[in-house]
Formats: sequence, structure tokens, C-alpha cells
Amino acid sequence: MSTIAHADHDHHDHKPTGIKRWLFSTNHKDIGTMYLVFSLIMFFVGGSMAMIIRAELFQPGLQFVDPQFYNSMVTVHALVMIFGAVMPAGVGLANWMIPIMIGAPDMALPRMNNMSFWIMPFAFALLLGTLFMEGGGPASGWTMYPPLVLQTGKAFPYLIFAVHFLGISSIMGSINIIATVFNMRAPGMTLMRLPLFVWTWVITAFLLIASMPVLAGAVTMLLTDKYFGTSFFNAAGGGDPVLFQHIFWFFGHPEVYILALPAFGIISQIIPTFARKPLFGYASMVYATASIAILSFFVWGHHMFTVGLPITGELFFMYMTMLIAVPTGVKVFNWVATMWKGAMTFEAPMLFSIAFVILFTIGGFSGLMLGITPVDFQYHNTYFVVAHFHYVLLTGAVFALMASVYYWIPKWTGNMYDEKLAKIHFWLSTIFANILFFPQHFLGLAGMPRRIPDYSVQFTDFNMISSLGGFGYGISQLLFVYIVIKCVLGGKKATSQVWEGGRGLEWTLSSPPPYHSFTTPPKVTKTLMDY
Amino acid sequence: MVKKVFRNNNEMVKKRNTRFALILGLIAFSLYAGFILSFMK
Ligand SMILES: [Cu+2]
Repeated sequence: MSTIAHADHDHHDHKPTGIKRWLFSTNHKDIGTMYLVFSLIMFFVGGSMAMIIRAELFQPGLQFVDPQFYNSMVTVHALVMIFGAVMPAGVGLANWMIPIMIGAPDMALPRMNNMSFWIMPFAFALLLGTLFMEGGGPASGWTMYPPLVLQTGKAFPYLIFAVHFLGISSIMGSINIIATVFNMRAPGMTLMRLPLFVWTWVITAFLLIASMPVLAGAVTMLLTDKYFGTSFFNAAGGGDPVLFQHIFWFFGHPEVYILALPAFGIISQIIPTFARKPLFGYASMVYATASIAILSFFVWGHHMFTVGLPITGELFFMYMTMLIAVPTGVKVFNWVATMWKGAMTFEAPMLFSIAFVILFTIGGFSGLMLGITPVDFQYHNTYFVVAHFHYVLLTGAVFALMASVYYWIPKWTGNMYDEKLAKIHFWLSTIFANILFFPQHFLGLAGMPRRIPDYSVQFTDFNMISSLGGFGYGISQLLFVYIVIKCVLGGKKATSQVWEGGRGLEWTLSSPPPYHSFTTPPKVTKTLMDY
Repeated sequence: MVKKVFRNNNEMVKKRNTRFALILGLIAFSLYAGFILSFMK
């Protein structure tokens, strides 16, 4: 254990308590905790909307909700899961782990850190509040295409401002991460020694800074179109509704990688730990991540193959999309090569990581299918798309987040989690997630459209199976909450090392780490990650 | 002990952090404004 981790330094220094500790927090660990708790709450808010959707789709015909409310469930489920659950979870992990991994005392801009967190509850109060308004919540899909979105009632300005606030929050978070990694590294922590999780987050932060303003611009234009007489997207005034789709997906595709890259980073931390081998191809992982990020700005047209792009445009976007498979393939190869001949054990973080590699790759393959222009003409707007992005985002991003919680929660709380329950949680999640989403491929290929509360009778069987998987998945996540609470309250004490194969600065600090992570900068040598 | 890191490079690091925040914030804002302006006729 490191000598810098003496807890007795803590009481020399003012440590706020009670509500003030959280409200005015400038401590990266406390803010990280708030992000993670917020994300978990939003995961259940978004999840309960998914339960309503699956209940309605259990049988053909209209059972529980009217179509307008169904559409707003589809819309708000997506917004809550993307901006409220997955992104804040990533930022929470970044807050907790980046200073610890690079040997810094805290984040670079702690007060801005506080602001970027506290903006979010307000933004979601605006967004979720619309569900109780006259006319209901936004129901145009999370993509907010005009002219449909302009028919939104009273909820419209709340939706737009919520998106603005979330954009500001994540841009501030990104600035903080970039400044921290570039300015606050311990001596000897060169860029090419950064843990992969830190690398993927730096690249994600640049993606956010480049793409969030574009989304903010697009929704500002929607706002002025509706209330101030402009015609950016109004054909009658000389505008073009398809322009919105171009702008939105110029943001939207990088957004996919904003959700996925931190997940790649998490997996690249966990697999070496439990294979007890250094990560295979470290440098190629960094370059692959950067290539994915750059390419992600040149593929937006694959969401718009059916709007009638020029044939050269369709071919360009198709080939660029195929190109992303190369760096992604490099990553999957490196993960498998890291496990090759490793001394592997299968604790919950490793199980989730292995499931991630397999299931994310399934989502990647269905993405390649959708990226082929003529094939997309058939799949576009069907349940095949829904199956694809849920493999990428649920069995991909969310599984990586689950893995990261099991991996780092002993460090956060000082207690080991219940491994037996965690394994049960893993198997229930994996089995039910596949029952939930795999049949949706078949529904899509058979032609069932997405965002529709009713369907023809021939789709009934697969929808019933899918709904049962959905309910099972939803209920199994309560087990996760139980495991987390149990771990926070007590359990077997964790050592500072926690995992036998753990390498890196985070494992040199006590569990839980002292209030100010590194009070004197550690010296990093190139043997830090050796086995 | 806590103050030590901050004392060693306090002013320099703080200045650099603020400069980073200003530059990146400016880039983000000009992207936002530039994007909207470029679609005005
Ligand atoms: Cu895309």
C-alpha cells in the first residue's frame, strides 16, 4: 500500500458534511457518486417506460395506453436512457476514476464540475415534467424530426431547453476531463502510459465538444422555426426539412460513440485484470479509438439512405460506414488476444466484459448489415434497427457499465460485493436481454415497423417472447440495486489491491481512497502496468 | 500535506486549467453560433 494514502491527513482539512457536502461539492469522488446515483435512478425511470412499451406490445391491438402516450413513452425512454442514464454514468466513472488513474488530487475545474452535475436534475425536471402537461410529453421520437416535432404542444419549449441544458452540462464535463488529463497528470504518466479508460474518455470529450454544439444549434433552429417565424426547416418558407436530418445525424452518429467509447475503455481495463496479462496492442487500441472518433463524423448519411440522397452520397456513406468496422475489429481482436493464454478467472466484471465482447459484436454486425445501402431500403425503420441499437447500447454500453460497477465498487466503498448474487445478476441479465432483443431481428426482417403501438397478428409470437424477456430483464435489475446497497452498507473488507491482477495507480490507493486522492503526486514508471 | 501539491504548482496549473476551459468553451460556442449562422440566408 502506498504511503500517500494515510487517512489521517483527512481531518487536517475541511470536509463538509450533510446536505452541503453534496450541494456545494467540489470533490471529484462525491460528484462522481452523485452522477452514478442519478444515472441509476434514470435507468429505472427509462426502464419503467420500456416496461410500458413492452406491455403494450405483448399483444396486437391497443391494451393499456393510447397511441399518443405510447409515442411519448418511446421518445422519452430514448432521451432518458441516452442523456440521463448512459452518459451520466460515463461522466460519473470519469469523475471517480480519472484523477485516481492519473495521480491527480482532484479534477482540474472542481466548481465547474459541480455545476455540470447540478444542471442535470433541472434539465430532467423540465423534460419529465412535460409528461404531466396538457397535451402530454414530446412524441416525435428522440430524433425530433420536423415537421412532426413542431406539432408538439406545450411540451415543445421544455424539450428544447432540456436538450440545451444537457448539452451545456456535457460540454462543461468534457472541458473538465480534457483539462484534467492534459494538465494534472503525475510525473512519469506520459500520454502513452495513460490507462485505456482515460484515453477513451479524452477522445470522447473531444467528440462531445465537437458534436453537442451542433445538436444545440439544430434544436435552436427548431425553436425559432416554431416561435420566431424562421424557415430553416420549413419548405414553404424556402427551408428544407431534410436539412434537419443532416444536422441531427451529424451529431447523432458521434453521439453513438460518445456512449460506446467509454465502454470500450472499461472493457480494456477489466479484461487484462482478469486475464492477468497486459492489454494486447495498447498503441493500436489508442489509434483505433481515435480513428473511430474521426470516422464517426463522416458516416451520418447511413441514417438517411431512404430520404433520396444522390447515389454518390449513398455510396460514400456506405463505404465510410464499412470502414469503421476496421478499427472496431482491431479492438475486438485485441480483447480476444489479451485473453489468449491468460490465467483467467471469471468474477462478475469479467463475465460482463466477455458478454460485452460477444454481444456488442453481434450489434456491430447487424450495424454493418444496416450500413449497406440497398439492404437498408428493406430494414429502414423496422424492428431490425431497434434490435441492432439495443445490442450495441444495452448488451454493449450498459453491460460495460455494470461490469465497471462490480470492478470498481470495492474501491469506492471499501467493501467487496456479493459475488454469488452478482453472478446470478449476470446470468439473468444476459439470458433475458437476449430473449428480449434477439427476436426483434426476426420481427424487423418480416417487416414490423418501429414506433407503432399496434401490429398485425403474424408478429404476435415474437412480440410475446420479446416482452417476456423485457419483464425478466427489468425485474433482474432490482437484484443489481440490492447488491449495490448491500455492498455500500457492509461486507467483506476490500484491500487496496482488490483484484489480484489489478494494475495501475487506482490500486495503490486505499479502499475507499482518501478524501483528496493523491496529496503528493506519485512517481509513475513504465513498469506500472507490468505483470 | 493536502496543500502541498497545490502549493508546488498552484498558480501555474490553475492558470493553465482556466485557459483550457476558455479556449474549449470558445470553440464549442463558435461551433454552435457558426452552425446556425451558416444556415441563415
Ligand atoms: Cu450512425
